[in-house]
Amino acid sequence: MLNIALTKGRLEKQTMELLKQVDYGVEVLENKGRQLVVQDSKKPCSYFLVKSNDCITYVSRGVADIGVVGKDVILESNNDFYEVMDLGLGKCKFVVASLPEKNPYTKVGHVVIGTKYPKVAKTYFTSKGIDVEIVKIDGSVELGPILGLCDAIVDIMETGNTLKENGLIVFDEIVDISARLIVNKASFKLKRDEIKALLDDLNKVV
Amino acid sequence: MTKFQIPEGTKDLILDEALSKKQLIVNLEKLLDRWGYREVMTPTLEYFSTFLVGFDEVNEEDSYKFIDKNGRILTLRQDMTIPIARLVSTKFKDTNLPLRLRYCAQVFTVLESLAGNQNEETDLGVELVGEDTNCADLEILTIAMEALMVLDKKNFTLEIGNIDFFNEACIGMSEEDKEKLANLIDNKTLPELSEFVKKLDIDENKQKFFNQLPWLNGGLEILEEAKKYVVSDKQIQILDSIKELTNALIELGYKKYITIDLGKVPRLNYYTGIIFEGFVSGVGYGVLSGGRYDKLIAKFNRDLPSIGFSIKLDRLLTVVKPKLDYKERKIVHYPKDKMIKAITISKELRKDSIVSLNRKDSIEDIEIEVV
Repeated sequence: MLNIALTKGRLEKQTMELLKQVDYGVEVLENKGRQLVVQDSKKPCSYFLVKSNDCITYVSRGVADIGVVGKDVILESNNDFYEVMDLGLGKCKFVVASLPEKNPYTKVGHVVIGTKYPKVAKTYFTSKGIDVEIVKIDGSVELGPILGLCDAIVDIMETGNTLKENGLIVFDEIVDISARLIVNKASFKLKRDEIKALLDDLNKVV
Repeated sequence: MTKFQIPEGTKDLILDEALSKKQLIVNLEKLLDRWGYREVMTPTLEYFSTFLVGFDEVNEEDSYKFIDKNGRILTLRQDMTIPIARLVSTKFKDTNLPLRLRYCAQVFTVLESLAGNQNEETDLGVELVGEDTNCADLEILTIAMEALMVLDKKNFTLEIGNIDFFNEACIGMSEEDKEKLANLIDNKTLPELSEFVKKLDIDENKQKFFNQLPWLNGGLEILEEAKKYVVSDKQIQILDSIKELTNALIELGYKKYITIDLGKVPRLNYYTGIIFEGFVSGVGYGVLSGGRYDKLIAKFNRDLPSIGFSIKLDRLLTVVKPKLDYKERKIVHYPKDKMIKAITISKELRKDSIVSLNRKDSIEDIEIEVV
């Protein structure tokens, strides 16, 4: 029996579609009502839906054997699990953006970066040899440079429309993001055959 | 005053929790004692510089640090292998080799907060110092098997690999690339791995090898399958030496507990040969880990090949029910005037049970209750 943690929301639907294509009995997920844990109707799997950060916690601690979660969340966490497959879902990018006149790379003096992803931002700027101050913002990050809270932002960009509408431009692309299949390290050893079978199935459609 | 809390990442163990941990320690120590491993105890505090020498790269944020009165940096020990390396080079100068040492100690790491990690853990382990033969490897692996048996009779696996299998394929590569590659392979971060391998200046065979390495794990058949991907003759020799070890373990009756993972590449500058990790059903992390570290003690000025392992006990407490060394718990109830008799009786009962006394004046004579 495999315990699978799915990230709630859009990713949950897309993952379900993938599993359906390889003949998993996930229709139960569609009419789950208030049920928190549901059984696959065809395969020995059970699913539960969690928030993205929790998905990582559940998998790291072995409560879930497998999780589906965005690379953005993985990058922001301290990963202690295997990241075995790129599901190609929810594709987007981490970018550095700001107003055209506020280039953080050429600014002389103290640079402040606003972001929902402090770890990603810190790692990126450290690798570039640039010393910055990170300010954590939880929503509407684009406001930061406009209102003068920070010089630039590090955020996820899907289409680029939000940035454009707010007059921000992309200065650099940090890394591509998509949903990943992660596996608990101990489960990988103790439930090897079941996990391998799931991966082989998914490989047919990914 | 309502704020009597304990620091994050620490734990109080009470009553049965403490009993069961203690019993687990006793059971494991008995095993190690019988193998002729002698206990060493080192200070909880060490100079931070000792750890800087031991680990080539220390993540400074991971250790608790203090300043002593002379301005030197102290640290709470992060593991026991480095204090033992220090100990071997300073306290065992003229001792006959090999040394068989064991320990059971609290170790400390500053971990990510609120992730459910423990910052203080009990580490119990052995080190076989001064021997680099296959026999030493086999001895340690056998003890690891027996220790896992003590923990969980059925559901465990001991995964064996050899870090040189990876190192061999990296000859000619920059340290930085090698480190990155090791990380991606060890965490089986496969999407990034294939991207990274493409960027490296290596031939097609090596590319194929590195992409395959995270999948070179499973049963004993992996040792044969791996031969399809090797990029040097030395790697064939390494596979053969693992085979020799696993054959010996099979002969000793451990076949169903052995798995192979050639894509195991933890802590590059510490381990030098065979590495292994034990997993017990119900625990999401490895509970036993070890390997050969032939270069470590040399950093403390004594060149001694060594191998050892340690068990992270606290991770096991929720799933392992240790064998208790008493039969049952009893209460001897006695009225006031029968106290001497009660003590005499309970002394006899204590030979195989835990017996506590309870004064109860409402009864006439002694009553023994099993709880």
